[in-house]
Order: sequence, then C-alpha cells, then structure tokens
Amino acid sequence: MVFGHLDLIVGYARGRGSLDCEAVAAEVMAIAWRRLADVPVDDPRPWLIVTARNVMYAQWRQQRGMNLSPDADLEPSLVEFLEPVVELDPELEIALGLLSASDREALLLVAWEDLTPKEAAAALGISQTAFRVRLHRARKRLLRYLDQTQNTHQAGHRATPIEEL
Amino acid sequence: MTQTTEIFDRLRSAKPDPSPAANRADVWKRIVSAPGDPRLSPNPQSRTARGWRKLSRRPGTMLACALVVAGCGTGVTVLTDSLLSETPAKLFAFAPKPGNPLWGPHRHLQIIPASIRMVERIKVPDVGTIQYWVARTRLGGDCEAFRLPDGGWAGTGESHTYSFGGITPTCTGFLYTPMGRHFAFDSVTFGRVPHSHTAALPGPRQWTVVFGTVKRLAQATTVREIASGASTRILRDGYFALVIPEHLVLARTTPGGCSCGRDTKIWFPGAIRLEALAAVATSKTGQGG
Repeated sequence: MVFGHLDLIVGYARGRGSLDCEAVAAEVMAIAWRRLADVPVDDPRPWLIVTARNVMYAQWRQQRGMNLSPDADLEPSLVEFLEPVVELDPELEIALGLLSASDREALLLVAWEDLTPKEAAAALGISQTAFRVRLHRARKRLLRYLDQTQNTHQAGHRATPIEEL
Repeated sequence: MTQTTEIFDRLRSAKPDPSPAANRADVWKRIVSAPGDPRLSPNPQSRTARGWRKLSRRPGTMLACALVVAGCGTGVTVLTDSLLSETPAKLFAFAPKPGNPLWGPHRHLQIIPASIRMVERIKVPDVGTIQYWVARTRLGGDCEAFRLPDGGWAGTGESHTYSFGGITPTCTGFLYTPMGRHFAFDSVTFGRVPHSHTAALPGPRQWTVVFGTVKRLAQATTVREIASGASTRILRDGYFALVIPEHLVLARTTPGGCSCGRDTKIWFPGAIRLEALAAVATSKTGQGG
C-alpha cells in the first residue's frame, strides 16, 4: 500500500535536509497516485524514494534559479544537493560531512531507510554489485573519518570546524 | 560486535524521528485539499509550505484515497481523473507563479484555455521526443512546459528516467523575469529572455534545449545559435526551441570554483549567442553581444 510508506518518505525528506518534509511527502504521494500503474507492486519504497529525491531536486533547482550568480550555474547530480540536516553527534556529523554525497546516500539508505542492497541499488539506479562496492567503500571511509575525529578529540586538539576540513 | 555493526548502529541511532501519527492527517489534507481550501493553511515556519502546488479534489478521488487509507490495497480502482498534470490544461490550470513553477496559483495569472497548445515535438538525440507546450495568460504573459518521453512533466519530479533541468513549468505573467544570464541576444528581436534546459538520459551525452519567443516575425524565420551553428525555424506566434550539443556551448571547469569546494562548470556569460535570421539572410536581424 503506497500511502503506508508515508512515514518513510517524510523521514527521508527530513533526513536529507528538506525544510518542509511533509510537503515533499504529499507531493510524492500525489505523484504515486497519479502514476499508480508505474509503482512497483512488490515494494514501492525505492520508487517512492526516487520520486522524493526528484521532487526535492526540482525544488532545489527552482530555489537556486532565483539566486543564480551571473557566472555560475551548478549542475549537481541527483544526490549531490542532498545535505542531512539533523542533529547528529558532532563526531558523526563531521565524519558524514567528509564523505561524498554518493557515499553518504548509500550509507543512509541502508541505515535510515532500512533498504536492502538490492532495494538501495534500485533507488540509486545502479547495479547491485556497484552498490555493494560503494557501500563497502563508504563504510570504510566513514570508519576512518570517525577514527580521525575521535583521535583528534582524544589528543586534546581544538575541534576543527567543518569549513576548514 | 564488528565495526560494520557498530557503524550502522551509530547511524541508526541518529536517524530522524519519524512523523508522528498525528501529522499524517495533516499530510493527507495537503494531498487532497483544493486551492483555497482553508485546511491548507501555510506553515509560517516553513519556507516552502505556501509554495507547494495545491491539488484538485474530486469526490471520486477522495473515495479512492479513503479506500487506500482503509487498507483496501490492490482492490482500489485507479481513477483516470488525476490529481496533477495528466493533461497540459491541468498543468497550466495551477497557474504557476512567475519564475517559481512549484508554487500554487497566483491570483493575477489567469491562463487562457484556448491558448494551451503543443508548439512542437523536439527530437533530442539519445533522449527521444520532448513535447514543448505553451499557453498565454490574460495579462499577456507566456507559460511553458515540457513533457518528457515517459509522459512526465519536466520540473515536477514525475520522471524517473530523464534529467531535464530548468524552471518549467512556468509562467512569466506580466512581469519580466530576469533569467537567462548566459545568453547574448537582441532584446528588440527576441520577445523576452530565452531559457534553456539540459536534457539527458543517465549517460555521457547531454543536450541543451534553448527556447523562447521572437517578436519580429515579419523578418525573422530562423533562430541560430552562433557558437554551435545550430538553427531552428520560428514557429507560429514566434516560439522556437533549439537543441544544442552541450559540449559545444562554451564552458570551462574551474577547480574549486565555487563555495561548494568542488570542481564545477562555470559558464561564460553570453555563452549561448542567439540571432534571428530572415528567410533570405542578407543581413542579421539581431545579434547579441
């Protein structure tokens, strides 16, 4: 049942920095309703997540279009604009911020949306093999960044602001 | 406990709280409410709440949605009278605000129903055929939208297959929208600032679709982009849509060229240079610079 995944979509939008996650979810559900024939019957979650990301991306583009500087026109990929805006513990926040957007999204789809590698690969539009490799590398990188951050704190150094990393 | 388990446990513990059950009713109201519905009051703390599109409500849709909520699952009948943009008329009926297509109806923008039409089918290599739809407003403005090969409307999040960035669906209404900073064109010849989209499938090749209007129809029959040499005929009412290989549009990559700290493309101002040509091109009718 499509509407049964409303919480998932609200959580996804909130976890990816949407300022009005309920509006995103409402839009996603409306699109799903209109295109019900296209929504996979067995598991609609990857489809809903892709739709949510597209909706947020379209919103992001419109907002940036209003404020484009004369010399810049960024064309990020469909994950690069996503920025988790939730209260994380400082070490985790720093470590996640050091990851690429693709690595971060791979980890969060598994950890926050509870998708299997197969489902997450579908949500990202890549093969299962490619996703497993990406997830493996992302996990290793996150572990390394967490170790570095923890070691920095334990050594008593001043915490380095994200902007300086 | 392995490090893998630890890392995922730590991430899961930081997961945002799910929407409380009480908020589901609020979300539901936003899905089914009609324009002007008092239930859809904007959230003053949200930047985007008042900007999101309000959807049509019909009794049949309400019943079907209620069945979904009640858990009738696959037994629900799919209505053909859809909520959003099944037809261009419905898309433009939401009368997008100037320059912000995802916002709701604007009381000053009234679409002329008889003006809604498909201008052209644009063939984009590697992508397919994209429909270019337009409409006029009662205050003399232009509305534009693109329908992608899979039926989704560009800029609405409906298409899962195609990337087609830009500001459509949009209406310029009676205001001059200062978009298109990357264009050089003669403002006398061209009715207003052209726009462009990047059309692509997930893949290496991308194309830029440049579109707009030409005012001086008596002289101009063709629009040409100088850098690429691509040209297209001007259609009824002065509309045109031109497909340019993106790699031919002047650009450079600047390492760390923006505050995002990543390599990014910086488009030269005036990278897309348009001119309108007469049928017998003895002289250019308009050239930017």
